[in-house]
Amino acid sequence: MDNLICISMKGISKSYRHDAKTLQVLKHVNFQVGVGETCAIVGPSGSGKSTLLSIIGLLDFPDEGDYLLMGHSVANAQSDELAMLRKSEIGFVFQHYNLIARLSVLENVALPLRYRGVDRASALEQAMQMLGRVGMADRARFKSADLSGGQKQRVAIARALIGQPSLILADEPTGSLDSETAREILELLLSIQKEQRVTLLIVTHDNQVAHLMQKKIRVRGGRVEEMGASVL
Amino acid sequence: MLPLNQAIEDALDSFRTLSRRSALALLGIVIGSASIVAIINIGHNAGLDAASIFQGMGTDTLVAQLPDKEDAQVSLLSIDAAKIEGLDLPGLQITPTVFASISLVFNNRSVNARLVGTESSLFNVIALSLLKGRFLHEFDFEENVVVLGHQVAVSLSEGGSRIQVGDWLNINNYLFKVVGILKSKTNSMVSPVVVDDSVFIPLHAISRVESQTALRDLIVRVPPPLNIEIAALRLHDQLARTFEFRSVQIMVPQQIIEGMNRQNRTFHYLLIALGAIALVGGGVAVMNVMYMNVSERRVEIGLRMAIGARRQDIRNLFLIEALALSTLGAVLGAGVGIALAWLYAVISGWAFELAMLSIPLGVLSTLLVGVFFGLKPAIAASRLTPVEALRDD
Repeated sequence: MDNLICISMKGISKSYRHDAKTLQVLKHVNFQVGVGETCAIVGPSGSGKSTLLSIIGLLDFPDEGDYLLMGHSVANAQSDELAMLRKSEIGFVFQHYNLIARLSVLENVALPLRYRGVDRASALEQAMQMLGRVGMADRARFKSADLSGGQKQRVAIARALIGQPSLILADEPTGSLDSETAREILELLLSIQKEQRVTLLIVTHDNQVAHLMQKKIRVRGGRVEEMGASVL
Repeated sequence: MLPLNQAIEDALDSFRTLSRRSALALLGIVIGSASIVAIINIGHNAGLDAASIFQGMGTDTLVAQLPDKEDAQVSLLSIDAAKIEGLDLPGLQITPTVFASISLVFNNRSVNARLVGTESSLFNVIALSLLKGRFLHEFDFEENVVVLGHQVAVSLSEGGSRIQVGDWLNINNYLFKVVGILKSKTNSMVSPVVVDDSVFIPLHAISRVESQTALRDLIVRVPPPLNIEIAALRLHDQLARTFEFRSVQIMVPQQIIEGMNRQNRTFHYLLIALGAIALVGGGVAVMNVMYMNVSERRVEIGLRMAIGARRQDIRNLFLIEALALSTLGAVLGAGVGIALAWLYAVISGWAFELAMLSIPLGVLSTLLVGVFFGLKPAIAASRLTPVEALRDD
């Protein structure tokens, strides 16, 4: 395992105000994930795992605590700086795929490169190569509505990987899939993770998925209860 | 940051798949833009048509009328004409004019016409032009010569043989020699002379064919550098003193033209205000559509932010979409507006001339409205946090 640290969280807390009440979702969370590691965040619904993932993915801010992503302190980063880090360091895979319906599969995959300033032709060429790696090259001109759930998630994985991020964040990536397709998607994610030595962090409520990861973090009532290597 | 060309390409990607709502907003913009362009063109052509009414009645010309006061004695034309010659108005070209309705006979064909007894100076004062022959000459004095208006000549020729210069015409049992035929001329609103339906004879010859004539109209040219308004005051003053049994009314075409121009401008502003209201309606439609667009595409906004879009990238995406919608609406609207204005001109019997300013004004004002109303939803989209946007699933 690599000694470099990809994610380092110390004393991260997060609360939301709702109907004049303050709801503390995360309470003094501490953990680290090394570069190239695979990690599962598990826990029951409402435990705070999605909030934790949002903070890790720089989509939300902690109220307190320190967070270092690939050595960059992001606690006081401004909006543009966070956008830059998301663009360069993170690839997202969502449970509901979040593909843009009016764009073709190829254009969806090319989208992250557009925000990196890559010209359209080159972005589309790279996207086609990436679709080849996830076995979706023959569906490049399709619209996402014409794909099955598994195919959509393959496209989403291709979109997450095209920018060569150091961290893949997957929020229930198999949550909307049947068991056979879920297994294929996990195999794909893990094979690409091994190949690219990218850090993979998966939020899941499925213990079978969690057991495939090197590290497991259990979140309950906003606290990290258990940390350690999964039984593979 | 997303380069501008990529921002435009992205915005056009989403614009390509216009929703039905976007099509309705587009319709609003088209109506607004078309209203502005059509209204400017209709106003422009209305102005041209109004100006054409004064054609041939230059801005250096005025008309004096001398109607009888009640219980006034009938005055003799020759005495009135002598009084006019005696006026002390240096520089002014005064053309006395007398009117009568008569019947003309040529080749046993009878035609009604307006008889105008006048002097040779009328030719230049109301800018007549000849088809054949000559106009009245000062040496004609009280000779039996006549110049025919265009329509009178046509009517007299309908019987068979075409009337020619040198033919003789019977006017109230007096024979007059045709010395000229005029070209057709549009009536001027302020001129008392209806050229096409008139025949012109020397002022002093009119008493021969029409006994009850009096001098009631003077057409006066005020050559530069004389001021027309001062000249009108002086003319009024002298006529009032000279013709004490007459009322004196002076019409200054320039003042009437200015009055009409003022009226036109007011009309124009009113129409532009109506167009602006239509355009603002279109703008509000754009704003509503863009708000709905933002609301429907929250997840997409979140996704774009997650993959690296900055706030300004999101703002520009929606702003360029609003601008693209407005540009398409403005261009289509300009075409529709020109077509409507042309149709209006044809129905109104006007000659259509494109007001060149109408296109840039219509298109630019539409774009400004599109940007103005598209900006707020675009800023609202850019202010979403990624987690807020993605949560809206």
